[in-house]
Amino acid sequence: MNNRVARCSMFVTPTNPRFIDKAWTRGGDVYILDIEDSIAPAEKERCRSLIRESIQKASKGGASIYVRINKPFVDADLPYAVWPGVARIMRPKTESAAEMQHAHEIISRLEKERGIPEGEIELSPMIESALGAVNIHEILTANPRKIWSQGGGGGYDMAVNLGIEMFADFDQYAFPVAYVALGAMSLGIEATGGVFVPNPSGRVDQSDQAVKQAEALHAAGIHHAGALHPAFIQPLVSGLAPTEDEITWANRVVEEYDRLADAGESIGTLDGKVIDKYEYEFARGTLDWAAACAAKDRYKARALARAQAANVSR
Amino acid sequence: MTQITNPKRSWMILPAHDPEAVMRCQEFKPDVAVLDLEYSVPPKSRELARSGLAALVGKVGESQAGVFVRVKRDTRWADVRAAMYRGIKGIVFPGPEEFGEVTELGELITALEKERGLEPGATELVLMLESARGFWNAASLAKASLRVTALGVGRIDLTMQLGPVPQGEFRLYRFLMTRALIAARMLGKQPLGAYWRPGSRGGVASKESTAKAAREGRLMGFTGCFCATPEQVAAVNEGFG
Repeated sequence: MNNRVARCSMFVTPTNPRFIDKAWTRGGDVYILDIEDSIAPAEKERCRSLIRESIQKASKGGASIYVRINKPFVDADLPYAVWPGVARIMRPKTESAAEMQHAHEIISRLEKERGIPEGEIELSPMIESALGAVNIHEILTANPRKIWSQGGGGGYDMAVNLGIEMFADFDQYAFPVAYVALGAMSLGIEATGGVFVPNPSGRVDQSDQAVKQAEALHAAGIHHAGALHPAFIQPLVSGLAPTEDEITWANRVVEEYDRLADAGESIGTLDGKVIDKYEYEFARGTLDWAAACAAKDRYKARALARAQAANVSR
Repeated sequence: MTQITNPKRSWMILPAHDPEAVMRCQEFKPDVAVLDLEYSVPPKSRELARSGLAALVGKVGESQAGVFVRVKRDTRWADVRAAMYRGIKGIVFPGPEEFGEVTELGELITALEKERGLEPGATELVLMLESARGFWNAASLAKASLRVTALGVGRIDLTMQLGPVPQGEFRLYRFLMTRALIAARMLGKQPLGAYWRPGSRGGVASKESTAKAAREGRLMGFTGCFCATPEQVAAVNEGFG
């Protein structure tokens, strides 16, 4: 299953059976099996040993699986993280091309040993420091592995590194977010984006905040978001897909622009709106994304039905 | 420091395939006339626009201080050939991305100046950033040819598909404008751009929204911008005045 559709990527704790066993029923596009911040040092070893079975459990509902490893334990973590069924490795606090290259080489070796097509697993650098943000270009061009850019803003680690207050009513992360986003966009690399929605309460478990976040991301044209609480899954999964009205409009725009092009024209109007190459591109983007979301939803629905049937028969 | 009156506030886009519309530009008093071979020229009229350019550049050049020609990125070489005639003040290059592209276009201009008896080195290059790659390389692009006199930001909300954010701005817009401004100022180029705010998609900019965008652009350090419609010229002159 393509893992391009990641409207909601939620962190789960492999050492907590309550989270892992229920994940498949919650409808997330992606679950991130965490060996990093949600796992206490004394639990790391047990967590590593649980990753392989957690992949099977958490993906039963059609979700893609990522694994977040530890910056200080890249060598120790990767042999427990690179398995068939893992779509992406998330590498926290990345700051240099050398770090990316190191992880890439280990992943390549493990892919070979474990019968995974070489280069299949994506590597995602998490940008969580000033140095990582400044070095974004070298980080994203460090090796030929498929890269997905992550971060630059909103995170706790970035706040600590920069010495800023995380929950403010203005956008503290504007520069690093924009710089990292531009670096990724300039290379044609997809990125998990962020839009600043004031949240001075500091809570991350409120679904009305989730709806606001989803609306803001959707309006801004961002397709991918992370989540820390299950209350965010449904608002993001439904909120980041195009609406029926948007799809209908996009189809009309494409049809109208095709008609213009056939007549050798390039600018027209539809319901009083200007239709041109920009609106055409935007509409095409909406339709592509709608198709990708629909495919992911169908895949999840089939997987869910299978898993439910298996559950009943047991 | 003495205040210098900025002579290039409004850059009026004129469809090059429509000589009548082009000649009417005087009524609106733009600081710069930009004969367009890009957005405003439909595919079926592109050849006509190119072939009529030599005469049009000369004609507009008599009455208008600055005649520029905006080329199309994909066909810029042929477009520049069609534009380089007596009266031309400069070329507008939309969407440059790499240093080498700008150097190369500068060299083509040099060759054409020589071939056609135009003043060597006099033709200016205006770079309009439209893509992430262009913004990433902004300073390098502005250094790529001595001909570059201005660095601009167009409607990147459209070209880069930047949607609105809750703060009443387009995503990344302020950062990208500042990036272009810094590149322009550190190299002594004219910064072109206005601070457009989100409206409804497919809407046409009003005089009011244009004046506001120009005023905010001026406050951010920009000194002029492009006008897509004649009605915008007065608003832009006022906003940057």
